[in-house]
Amino acid sequence: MKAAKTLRSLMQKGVVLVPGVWNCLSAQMAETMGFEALYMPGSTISVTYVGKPDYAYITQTEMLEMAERVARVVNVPLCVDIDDGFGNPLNVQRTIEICQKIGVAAVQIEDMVPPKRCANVGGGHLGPAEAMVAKIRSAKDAKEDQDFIVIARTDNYEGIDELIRRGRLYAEAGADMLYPVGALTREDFKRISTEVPLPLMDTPLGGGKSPVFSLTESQELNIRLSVYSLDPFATAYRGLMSFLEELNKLHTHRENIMPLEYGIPAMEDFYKICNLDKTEQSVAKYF
Amino acid sequence: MKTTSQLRALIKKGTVLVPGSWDAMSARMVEKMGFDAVYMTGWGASLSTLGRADLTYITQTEMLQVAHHITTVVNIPLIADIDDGFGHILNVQRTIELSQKYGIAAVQIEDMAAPKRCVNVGGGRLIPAEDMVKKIKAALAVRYDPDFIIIARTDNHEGIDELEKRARIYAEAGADLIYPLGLTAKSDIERISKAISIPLMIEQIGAGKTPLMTRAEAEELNVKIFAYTLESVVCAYEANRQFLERLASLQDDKNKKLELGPTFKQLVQLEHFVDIEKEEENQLKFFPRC
Repeated sequence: MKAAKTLRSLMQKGVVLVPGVWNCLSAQMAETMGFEALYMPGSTISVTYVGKPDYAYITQTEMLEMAERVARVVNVPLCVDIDDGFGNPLNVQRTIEICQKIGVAAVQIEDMVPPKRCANVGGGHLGPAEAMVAKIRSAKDAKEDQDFIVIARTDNYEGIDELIRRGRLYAEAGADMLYPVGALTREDFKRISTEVPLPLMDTPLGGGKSPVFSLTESQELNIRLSVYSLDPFATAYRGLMSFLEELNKLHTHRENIMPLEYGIPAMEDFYKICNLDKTEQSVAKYF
Repeated sequence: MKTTSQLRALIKKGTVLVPGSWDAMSARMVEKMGFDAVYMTGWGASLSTLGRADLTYITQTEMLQVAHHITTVVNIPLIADIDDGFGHILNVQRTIELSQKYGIAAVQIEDMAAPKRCVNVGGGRLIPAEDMVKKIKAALAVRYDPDFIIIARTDNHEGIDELEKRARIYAEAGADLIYPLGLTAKSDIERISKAISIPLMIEQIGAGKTPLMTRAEAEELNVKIFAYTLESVVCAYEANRQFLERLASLQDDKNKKLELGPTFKQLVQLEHFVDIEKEEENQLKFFPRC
C-alpha cells in the first residue's frame, strides 16, 4: 500500500529517475545508491531467469516471483513490466491482485499481440484497442489500493495519430500513465503530452529509436518516470562477457595467468549492499 | 521403461482405466491402488492450488509444478491437462518441452477460447480450427521423445459436424488421440471414432454430458484412455465439506463434541500411500536410533 503512495508523491514533485533492475542484488544496489524508485523490465527477467528471448515465454508466476523477491528486499517503490497482463482480462486481474499483495507500486501493461516485438526492434503488431481497454478496466477494478499505478504501454506501430487515439482511450478506461514506445520525435512527445491527459513514462535507451531527453526536457514533456530500463542490465552482462572472453583465452594460452580485479573485496562490498550488518548482528546475538 | 513408452504399450493392449488426480498425494493413491496410469485435471489443480475456478487463471508454471510433483513420486504414466497450452504457439512449445523434461507421458491440449467454459457447463467458444492445428504442429515440432503423447481435446460447442471436422483435421495435424467432450449419445462418439484413424480419450463424469459406459463399450468405440477425470476431486472435497459441516455445528453449541473415527489409524494407512516404510528406513540410515 505504501509503495504506490510513495511513488505518487515522488512523481508529484517531478520526474523520477528510475534504473532497471532484474534481481535482488541489482535492486538493492540501486537503492543503496539513492535511487528513489526501481523498474523491472520483462526482457531482462526473460533472458536471465528463463534463458529465453523476450517473446512472451515468461509466465505470470515467474515474473511475479522475481518481483516479490525484489519487493521484499528494498524499501523504494518497484514498477513491474507485466507484458500483456499474461493473458485475458481475468489473468490481468489476478496479476494486479498479486502485485498489490507483494508490494509492487506500479505495473506496465502493453497492447501488443504475440509474438511480441518491441517497437524499438520492429516487426510487432498491436491488438485491437478495445481488447486493451477491457484489460485496463479489469485492472482498475482489481485495484484495492487506489494509489496503485497502472501504466498503459503502446508501441508506435500504427503511427502517431493512432498512438494518441489509443492513449486517450486508455486514459478514459482508467490508466494512470501512458508509456509510448518506438520511433517518436520530440514533436511527437510534445503532441502526446498535450493531447493525452496522462503523465508519461519514457525509457531513454541506448540504440533506441526515440531521442534521449534530459531530466529538464522530460519535465517539460510531462514525463514523470524516466526509466533507464535495459542499460543497467546490459552493462552488467557486457562486463560478464568481457570477463568470460578473457577467461576463455586460457584454453589456448595455458601458460597465462588471468589478471583478477575483483574477487573477495568485491563480494564483501556486495554483502554490505545485502545488509550484511543486520546479518552480523543476528550472528553475534544467537551464535 | 520410460513412462511415455509405458503408456504407448498400455494403449496398444487396450482401454486404459485412468483416475484423476490433482496433487502428488492423490496421484500416489491412484498408483498404490494398482491403476496403470493417472490423469491430472486442470480443474482440480486450479481449485486446490489456487482456490479459483477453472477459468485459465492457472499459469503454465503452476500447472506444471503440480505435474512435476506428481511425476517425481509415481512410476505410472501421467496424463496432464495443459489447458490451451498456456498461450500462443511459443508458450505451447515451452509447455511441451517442460512436460517432457518433467517426465509427463501425455498432455491434453484444448481448442477453447478464453474465458473457457467446459461444454458440461456450456457457454464456451472455440478458437479457429486453424489456430489449434498450428498449436498441434508446434507441439509436435518440439516432441523429442517420439513416444510422448499429444491429445487434442475439442468441446462440442458448435455441433457434431464441426466436432467431426475438427477431429479429422487435428488427427491429420498429428495429434495422437482425440478427446471429444460433450457428446451426449454413444452413436455420436461412434461417429467421431469412425471418422478418424486415431483412438479417442473419453471422460466419465457424474452428471456430465458424455454417457456413462462400461470399459468394454468404450473399447468398442476405440477409446484408449478412459478417464474418470473429476470424480476423485469431488469425492475428496465433498468428504471434507461434510466434515466441516459437522464441525460447524459446534459453533452454536459449546457443550457438543464430535464423534471422530479412527483418525490416527487412517493417517497411518494414508502414510502407506506415501511409502512411509521406505522413508523410515531411509531415516534410520542417516539418523540412527539413540
